[in-house]
Amino acid sequence: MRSVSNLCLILILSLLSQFSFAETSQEKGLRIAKEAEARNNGFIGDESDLEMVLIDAYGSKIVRKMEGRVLEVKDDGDKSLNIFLNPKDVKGTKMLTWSHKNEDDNQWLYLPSLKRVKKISSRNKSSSFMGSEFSYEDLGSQEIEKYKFNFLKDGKSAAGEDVYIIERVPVDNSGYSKQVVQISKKHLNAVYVSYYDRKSELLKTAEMSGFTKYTVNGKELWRATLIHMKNVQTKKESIFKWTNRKLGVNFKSSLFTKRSLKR
Amino acid sequence: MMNKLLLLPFLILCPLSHADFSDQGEITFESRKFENDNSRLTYDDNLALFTRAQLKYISGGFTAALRGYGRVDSKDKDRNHLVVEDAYGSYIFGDEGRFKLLAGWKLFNWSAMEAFHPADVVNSKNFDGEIENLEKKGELTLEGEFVVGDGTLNLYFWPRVESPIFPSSRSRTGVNFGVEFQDSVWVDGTDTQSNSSWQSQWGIRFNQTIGDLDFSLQYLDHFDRVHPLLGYSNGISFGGSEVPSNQLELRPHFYRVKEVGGTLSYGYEDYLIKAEGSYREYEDEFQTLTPITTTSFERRSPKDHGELALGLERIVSFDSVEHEATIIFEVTSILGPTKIERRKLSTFQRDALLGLRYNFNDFMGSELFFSYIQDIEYTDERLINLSFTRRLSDQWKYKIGTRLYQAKENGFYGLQVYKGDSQGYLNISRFF
Repeated sequence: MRSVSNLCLILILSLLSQFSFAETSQEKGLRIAKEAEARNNGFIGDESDLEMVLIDAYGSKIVRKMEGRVLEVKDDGDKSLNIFLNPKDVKGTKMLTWSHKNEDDNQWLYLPSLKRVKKISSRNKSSSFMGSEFSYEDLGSQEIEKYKFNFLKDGKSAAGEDVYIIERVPVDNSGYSKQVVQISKKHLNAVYVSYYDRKSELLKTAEMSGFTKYTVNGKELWRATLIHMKNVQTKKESIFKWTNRKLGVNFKSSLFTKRSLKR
Repeated sequence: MMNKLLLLPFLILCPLSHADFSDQGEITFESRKFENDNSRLTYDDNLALFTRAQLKYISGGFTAALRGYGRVDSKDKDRNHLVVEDAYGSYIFGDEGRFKLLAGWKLFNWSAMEAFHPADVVNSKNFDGEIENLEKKGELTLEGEFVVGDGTLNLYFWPRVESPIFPSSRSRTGVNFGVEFQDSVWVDGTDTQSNSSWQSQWGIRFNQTIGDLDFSLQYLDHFDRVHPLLGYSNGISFGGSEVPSNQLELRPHFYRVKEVGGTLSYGYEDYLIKAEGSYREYEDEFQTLTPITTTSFERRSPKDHGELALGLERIVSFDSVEHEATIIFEVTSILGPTKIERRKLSTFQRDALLGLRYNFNDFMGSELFFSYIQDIEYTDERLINLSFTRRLSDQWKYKIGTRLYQAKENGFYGLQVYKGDSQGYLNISRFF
């Protein structure tokens, strides 16, 4: 009799422990997102040449070029500076973004023809970036505080890689109702994203490829060298490429100021 | 030869290591056609070649910049100009570059607004252009800049003034009423005779970013080049009233002014809220003999006044077609003087602008711009601006548009000055 009651006690405790330590899909999604963020932090500074190929529904192509710099900021969003190189009428235009974890980003545009630094509203994130299929939101800092996560399932990417499939829903002010993200189990980077519009219909897909390993202060970091964005509604496409990429660059913080835009 | 001389410092500095040399610019074929004024003395159309070029050399903390524009008109030789916008050297001191010294000619843009610019007052202007966004001339500047928080404190000394450019008597861009202007006069206290460019001026400006707010404050002791007083320095008594001693001596008079002002840009939800203002106190002991009509004159000087502009901007995206529109609303007013005195001070003495920049987000960057400026006090006066720009390739771009001025009658003030000068234009640019 005593052994039966002991067994019952063990069973109850086991069930309770299962209940108290069971991870909900939201908790698991958030945990994976946090792990991915931690794995990808520590790049210090990122410098690269950027190329964007715009492809219309009929297959015509046009190329845009930029220089990109990103400064990692501890305890807040990163700071980035993009310098446009072509088309020639916008050559020298610079865009400075201070992204934040819990508030709207700050953004300024330097217009060289007017020698003017113009503050721009960062709320309208669904605007197209340089006429491409990428929006400012797609290319901006993807702070985990800006989303609610939900783990959907384990799966395999189109390339056969093991991935977590996670749904992330923007907390506030987004051009999307949700995104479904495939995160590589190997390097915890997004390898495929499906974007759903405000009517919850599939709008775009992004495929990341050409992952390259960098080592910064002994830490291994992986970065995609290409994102292929396809708009399934308009049939337009855009390809974003990084070349000559350097991680671990020690930028002066003064480079990411309004003052430096005029230099 | 002149250009080669200007390039020389760059060529000397180029071989230095870790240096960054950049150049850019444009050549634009400009054509414009005004509405017929039935006058054989004026040019109703202009064909011109405009070019702007910029060279910049950066090595460590050192920057050298050279930028300017030139215009050659096929008919109106008085539109031919070569203007230096920037020709300076600057050096940033310290690892974090917290202090900068700059010397040379420099063009400033202190405006936060699209059409009304009460705080953007430093550079002399080219009055042969769009009155709401005139071209500027660089000013000889000595500048010290200190980093303070997320902004800077700047000290300026300007040892000379550049004379503004006024259109010729045969130009259709209003402003000079068909009369040739003589050299500008710089009115400093009671000294009216000075047309010397060597006039010392100074200023201080503080700008800062706090959260979503960008603001700047400035104090200047300089010559007001935005509000010229057109008239005569000398007069004689004739029939009990004063008339110009020489009718051909019509000159722009620029008064020395102490002014305090600033700008503000604040991002709130989907809106960008903007403000720009200035208060001006003139050294106005001397009064200029100004025309009231073609035969009567009065002595006057600019009245001390405030000028405030407020603006609101919002971007709206049309996701289904991937277009976006920027809606702009701005309003400005001269504060202090009476309605009649306000009228004499500025073209936009109490006006409002409603603007729309519609971006098609296509490969060629097609953009439609519309603005409507309405005088709120003199409601028969308005300026309508409509333009369309589109790239032809990565280098080529065109802009076609029209500017329509409406006023009840021709006159010396407000948009009356431009009545009958509506125009259409086509500009084709090659960028490099």
